[in-house]
Amino acid sequence: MNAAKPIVFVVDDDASFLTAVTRLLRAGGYTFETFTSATEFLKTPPADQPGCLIVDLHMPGLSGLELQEALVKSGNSLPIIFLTGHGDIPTSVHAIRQGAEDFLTKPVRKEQLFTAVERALARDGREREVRERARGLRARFDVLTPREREVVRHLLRGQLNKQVAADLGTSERTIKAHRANLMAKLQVQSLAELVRLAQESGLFADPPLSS
Amino acid sequence: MWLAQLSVLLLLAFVADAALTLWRRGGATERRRARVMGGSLTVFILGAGCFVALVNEQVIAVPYLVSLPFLIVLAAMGYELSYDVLRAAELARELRASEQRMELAASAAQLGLWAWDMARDEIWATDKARELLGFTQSERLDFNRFLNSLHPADRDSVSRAVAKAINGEGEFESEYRVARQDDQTLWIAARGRVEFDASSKAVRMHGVSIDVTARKQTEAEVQRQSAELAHVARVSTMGELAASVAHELNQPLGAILSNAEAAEMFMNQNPPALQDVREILSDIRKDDERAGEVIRRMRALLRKREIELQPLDLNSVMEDVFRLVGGDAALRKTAISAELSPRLPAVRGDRVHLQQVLLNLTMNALEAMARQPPEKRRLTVRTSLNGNGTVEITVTDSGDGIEPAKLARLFEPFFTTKPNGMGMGLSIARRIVEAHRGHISAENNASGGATFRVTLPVTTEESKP
Repeated sequence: MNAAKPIVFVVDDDASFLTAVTRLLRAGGYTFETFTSATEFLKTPPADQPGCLIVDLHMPGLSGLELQEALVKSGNSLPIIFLTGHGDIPTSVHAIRQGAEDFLTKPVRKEQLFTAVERALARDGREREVRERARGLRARFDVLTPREREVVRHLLRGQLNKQVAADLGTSERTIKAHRANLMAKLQVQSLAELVRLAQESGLFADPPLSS
Repeated sequence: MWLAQLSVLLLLAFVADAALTLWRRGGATERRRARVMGGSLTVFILGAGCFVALVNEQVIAVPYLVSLPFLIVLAAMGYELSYDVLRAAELARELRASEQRMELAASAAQLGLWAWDMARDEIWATDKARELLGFTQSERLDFNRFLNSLHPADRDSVSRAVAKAINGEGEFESEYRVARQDDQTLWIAARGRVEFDASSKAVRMHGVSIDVTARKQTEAEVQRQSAELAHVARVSTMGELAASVAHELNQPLGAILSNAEAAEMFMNQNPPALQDVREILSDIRKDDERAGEVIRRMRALLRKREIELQPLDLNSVMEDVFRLVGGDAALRKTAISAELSPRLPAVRGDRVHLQQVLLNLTMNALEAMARQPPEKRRLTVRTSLNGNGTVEITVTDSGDGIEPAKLARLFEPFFTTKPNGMGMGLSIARRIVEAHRGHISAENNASGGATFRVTLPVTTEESKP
């Protein structure tokens, strides 16, 4: 991997289980950090640290689901693996809908746990890469003038130069000049390439593409 | 000469005094006896005096009439003697009749009569009493033989009750089982009274015994049925707690599995991480015990059993309850605060049944607060010692409280305030508490919510089972 080594964060109120799972993770060669409550974990949430989270669903105080909610709200996209002594369907459905990576029942076999952790770390890595790339792309788009960005937005809707000019109340020639400028700035050769770049950056996701 | 006459006069005075004393002392018989004895002795003395005088004056020749006053006295005394004999015979007859009447009454009422002479350690008992204890009509009975005829489990309590009667109260009361040779077990209820001598030393105890086997069987049947009902309620409670129990059980099981798998991996390392494996093995043992404890608590609750009263620490019962509902309370986001008095005397109670009562009250309280926002959900359990020799447990919730109109009917069977309640929990709880000679009540708090209060008598060493 390129950046920092991923960390598996484990949050469980049961000290004995916590020790056992971390032994397993240690034997499996993972780096980990443990917390005995969701509140403790949220005190210093890891910022931009690759890894994943293993959380007990039922804990006194803040539950696993509430921890998930808090993380989602704060924009932390650490993948979460839920562990529970007793899993009921509504809770698991709710957790998965909120983006949980996995939902495991105690006692959990090491293969299951390691697979889930691997998958979570892979997903985290993937998402991190996408975000990284998007960040780079966004930086490229940042050099565009507001007017040029406006033109991009219209081009993404599939409009022709003429239509864009009409919409922005200017001449087709001006639009052509803007278009040549921005394509040079973004170092793209074709409209198709521009569209892909814009999509990956996630910057122009809000306006609907159709109509 | 004068001397003789003086002595005769003195003798007369003595006889008159003795007769008068006897007269004053007694009833009709004594008075008559005083008359006869005093009269005849007076006659004898006067007669003897006159006789001596007549001989002195030589009016009569010497020895002839000497026997006359004696004859009179002998006749009077003989009369008295035969009267006493006749009277004794009459008394004996009356006694026999009264005894027969007593026995008739006793046998009609199936009562066995007995008397224990403590100095000689001999027990007299009617045929019925002997039959109840499984003794033959003629064998000699003493306290030890009596004690050995009892069910081994009851010997101590009977000895204690007897000792208590002898050393103080004078009243003996006990119920015990007799295991007879014919393999029949009878329940006997016995009452007795101790006689004390002038130095207040116990000399005798007499009393009655009666066969109460039928009553005991009915009681046992009633108890069996209520135990059955309580068991059903317990099983359904456990059903409600299934999620929490599964969680509690899977916690140590999960730790054991992960530890074992980690140990395998440590063993496969080169060199094997033996120190880690050692720690793991010790942790596995601890978690195994933890899981076993969960199962033991559950099994105890699920087992069918009757109430058995034993000295019991209510705080430890409450702690068991906390462990059982802990998971449920966490799911319900309810904080439980326990204020358990550190110096709580033991009560006489059945652990499982009291656990059921407290579990019921605790779960009701959790449920009662479901509609409150989480930060307002507060369950407080207190134990304390009351001044009047009772221990009190209160379970206080911060729910909506109980409608005043429903408060009085809360402990009635089939009465419920829950939309899908059966109305059995609290009525069973009351039955269990009352079987412990305790009391259960409910009230609304001034600050909202309700409080359930259970009081149980503190155990005392000499209390009867």
